[in-house]
Amino acid sequence: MRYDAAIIGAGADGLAAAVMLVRSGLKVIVLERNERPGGRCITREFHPGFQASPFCDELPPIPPEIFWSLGLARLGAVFVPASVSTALWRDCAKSLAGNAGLFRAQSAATIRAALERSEKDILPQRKASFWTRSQPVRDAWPGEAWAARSLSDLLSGGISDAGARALAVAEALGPRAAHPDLAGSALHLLAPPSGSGLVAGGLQRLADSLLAAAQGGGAEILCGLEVTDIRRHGGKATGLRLADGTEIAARAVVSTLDLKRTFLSLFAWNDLPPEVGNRVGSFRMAGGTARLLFALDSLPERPAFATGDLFAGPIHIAPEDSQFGTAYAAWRAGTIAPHLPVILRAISATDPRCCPTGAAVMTATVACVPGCLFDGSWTNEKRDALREQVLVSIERVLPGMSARIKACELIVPPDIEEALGCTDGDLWGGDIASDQMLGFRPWLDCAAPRTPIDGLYLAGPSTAAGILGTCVSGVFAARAVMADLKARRLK
Amino acid sequence: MSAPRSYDAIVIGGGTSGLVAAAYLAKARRKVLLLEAQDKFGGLCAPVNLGAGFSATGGAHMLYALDPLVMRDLKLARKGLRFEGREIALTGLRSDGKHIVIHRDIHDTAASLAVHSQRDAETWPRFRKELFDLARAMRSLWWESHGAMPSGGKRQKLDRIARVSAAAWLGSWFEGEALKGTLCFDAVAGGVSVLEPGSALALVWRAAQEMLGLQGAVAIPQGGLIALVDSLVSVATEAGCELRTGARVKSLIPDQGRVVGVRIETGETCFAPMVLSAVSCRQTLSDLLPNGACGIARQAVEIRNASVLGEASLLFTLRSVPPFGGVSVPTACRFILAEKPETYVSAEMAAREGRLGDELPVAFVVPTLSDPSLAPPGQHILSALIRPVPRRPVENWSTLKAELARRVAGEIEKLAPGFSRAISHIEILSPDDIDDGYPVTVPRMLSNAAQRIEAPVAGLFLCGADAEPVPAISGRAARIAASLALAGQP
Repeated sequence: MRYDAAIIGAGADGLAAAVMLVRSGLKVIVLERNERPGGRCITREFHPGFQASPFCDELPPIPPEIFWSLGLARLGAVFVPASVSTALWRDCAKSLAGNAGLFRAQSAATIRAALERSEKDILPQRKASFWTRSQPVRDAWPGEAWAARSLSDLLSGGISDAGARALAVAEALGPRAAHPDLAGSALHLLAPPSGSGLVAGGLQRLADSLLAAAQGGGAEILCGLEVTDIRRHGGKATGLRLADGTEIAARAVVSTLDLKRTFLSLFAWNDLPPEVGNRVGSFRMAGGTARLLFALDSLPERPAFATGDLFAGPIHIAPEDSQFGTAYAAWRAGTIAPHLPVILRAISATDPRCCPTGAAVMTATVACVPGCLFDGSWTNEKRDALREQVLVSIERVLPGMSARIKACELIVPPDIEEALGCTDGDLWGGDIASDQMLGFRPWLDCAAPRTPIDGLYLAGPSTAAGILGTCVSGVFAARAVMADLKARRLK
Repeated sequence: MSAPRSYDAIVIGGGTSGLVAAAYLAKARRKVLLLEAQDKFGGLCAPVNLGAGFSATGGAHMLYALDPLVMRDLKLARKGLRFEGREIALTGLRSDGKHIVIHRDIHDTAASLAVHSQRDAETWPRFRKELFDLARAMRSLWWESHGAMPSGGKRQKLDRIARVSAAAWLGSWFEGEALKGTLCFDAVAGGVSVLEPGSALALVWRAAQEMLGLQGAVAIPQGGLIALVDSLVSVATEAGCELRTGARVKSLIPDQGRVVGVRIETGETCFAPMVLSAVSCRQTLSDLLPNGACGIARQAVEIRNASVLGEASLLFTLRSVPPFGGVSVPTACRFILAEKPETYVSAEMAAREGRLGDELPVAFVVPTLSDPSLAPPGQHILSALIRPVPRRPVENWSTLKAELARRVAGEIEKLAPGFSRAISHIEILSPDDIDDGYPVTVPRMLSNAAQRIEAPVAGLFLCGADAEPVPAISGRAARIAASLALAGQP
């Protein structure tokens, strides 16, 4: 039997694509390697009675029109609005107030414009005719202003206070490894690491509501099945082969894996057109995120100088202007800097259902942790050392934290790679640099969601839309499939 | 105080750029005054005192960007400017003796690369062709006063290259770390980082240059760069320029939004309807003009755009032949000491923190091997360039200089045992002696000559190294500045 569309990966993007496709009456199958759908949105019990999402607490924002068109609110995905982030030092705390508004408004406007632009790419392009000969040349995007500016230069124009500036840098980079002084690092403002707000009940609720919407429409969701190959026939993607040998025929294949994983593990290298192989090969990944999940007896005490509700939002631990550069240099060299950027979140403060009454769940997201250490793989001793190091830096600003820990789980980039299939453990699907962002993501003459292989569509973080918001790239890929089916470009 | 004197044009700075601009203006029958602050001409190419019999200049020892039109229009060959060879090779030295030699001949180069990687050897001709094609496409923008980016298919490739870093771009072509490390040296000119967009474009800019009619060639003038300066001075003098040394310009004289003259430190004032400044952009706009004359916004940008990375130059005089025992490479050659692109990254990361890196990329030449007249018989000069180094180090440059010399001598010693013992004298130039830290950026490289040369004040033109897309001894900005200045005149 033949499906209209086969979707690889049941994460937020894959499920959103499925919802859109089944609603227009297509036969859709979603294949997920893990036992549970959700991808990075899963939430699990990491210690008896304590729940947390192991890969992230918060997602990039979902554009309102997509949120409402998917009908997620009706199915139980309730977002708790994102709270202000705080930078916490030993003797003071700072949050970004109104003075940060200008660059935020600037980047929000650019993100909106970028989404509109990627949306235009979805409309079926005219095939090259005798008269036009070639496809129209896509103009370069981002423009110079974003391509060549550095984050610290952009922020120093608007924020004079060093502490606030460090917080703004920490907020823009999130758990990614980057050097804020290098030209092009301002692009991180366009790839918000968070901003959706927390989902009541954990990110799993978002995945569950998407799943319910997809299944309600009639999509088949198969978990525990790994896709090993994309079948090609006559230069077109015609279906999938699974690890158990099953073959699934489909008119369109949507991959929500990252670019490298999609092309290098689902195709044989010599099966790809040489230009595509080289391009995908030179796409750079930049995995460098580690996570710690803490089960605590109770919340640590709030420092007296911290105003407002400190634990409602993310807490950046003692960010300093120079720290990001040093940590980035160490990350490149495969070592761990003595002072890593750490983002702490008290999940239970906004979502008390994730742990027993009185107890607390906190997560620490650590940036610039190399996936591949210079002296070999991640051993237990190295994991312990990293855990110790992060605990020491937390303890410095929140004294008494270590004493409350009942359990602690550490997730390093290789764990993320193994669990989610992200190359190098890069949750953002590729280095954010001016030659790999927006119009250049995944590369200039490849306008995602379409790929150089007919019938194969790319969603997920390696596309321009995928990095700007959650669910967006899935919805865009679904629209492209529908447009191409309508234009009879898919047989 | 003498009475003010009036000219048709005043040129500030007597380096190669200033001399070229003055010569062009004088050849157009204008009454030109050139003011040089030091007591000799040449700027960075001015002779350095290394002892009797030695003839050397502080900065570079090679030419790769000299504008062919300047050569032709000013008839420099008639003034005795000759070159040693039309092209000198680029050699990446490696501690294991498997050196990479990049010749003009693509087949020889491929053969040298095949030792490391067969794939790179096969890729090299394609890379060279693509690089040179793109470079030719960019010439309009870089060579003409109102040039534009190319359009069509080339545009799309250039759009990508303008946004990709040298490390990533070379990485997408080659697998050999040593080859990439060797090529990267030219990409980090002007304080750009190998990780930043713009560094790939700097490589293209380098390939767009033409020395002696050969694209991408490097040449050493007979008698060193002093010979170039001498020939320019004689051209300018013959054309009727008034050349003055020891005349430091104190300020520019603005009048109703125009620059109308200059004030010299001695108290003398000179008037002219056009002033061409070959000193750095920042110095011209911030120090010589009164505050705010060129617009606060521009001034703020100039101050903020300070580079943190610089380059240092070292001159060694040697008592004996540099003992390159076991190194089978051509002697007239540029040597690069950088094992891989990460060498630049680690040096840069350290430089950003204000330290010297553990590994330092070094390029050096031994000009006396091809031109023995530069040194007393049997003795030699070795000129090395190190980048990136910190521009604002934690300790100041006067203490860092000694460490730098020790480190660089140590690096060369590893390849040429006995080198340190042959050293008789060391001369060091810190980044601030070499340039003004106006960084190479993508917008700068993608602006046309008129945008780079025309100052925000009427009657003032910039023609120094920072009016070029990438600083180099080229004279092109000066030639275009002179023609723009003349075009604005009735």
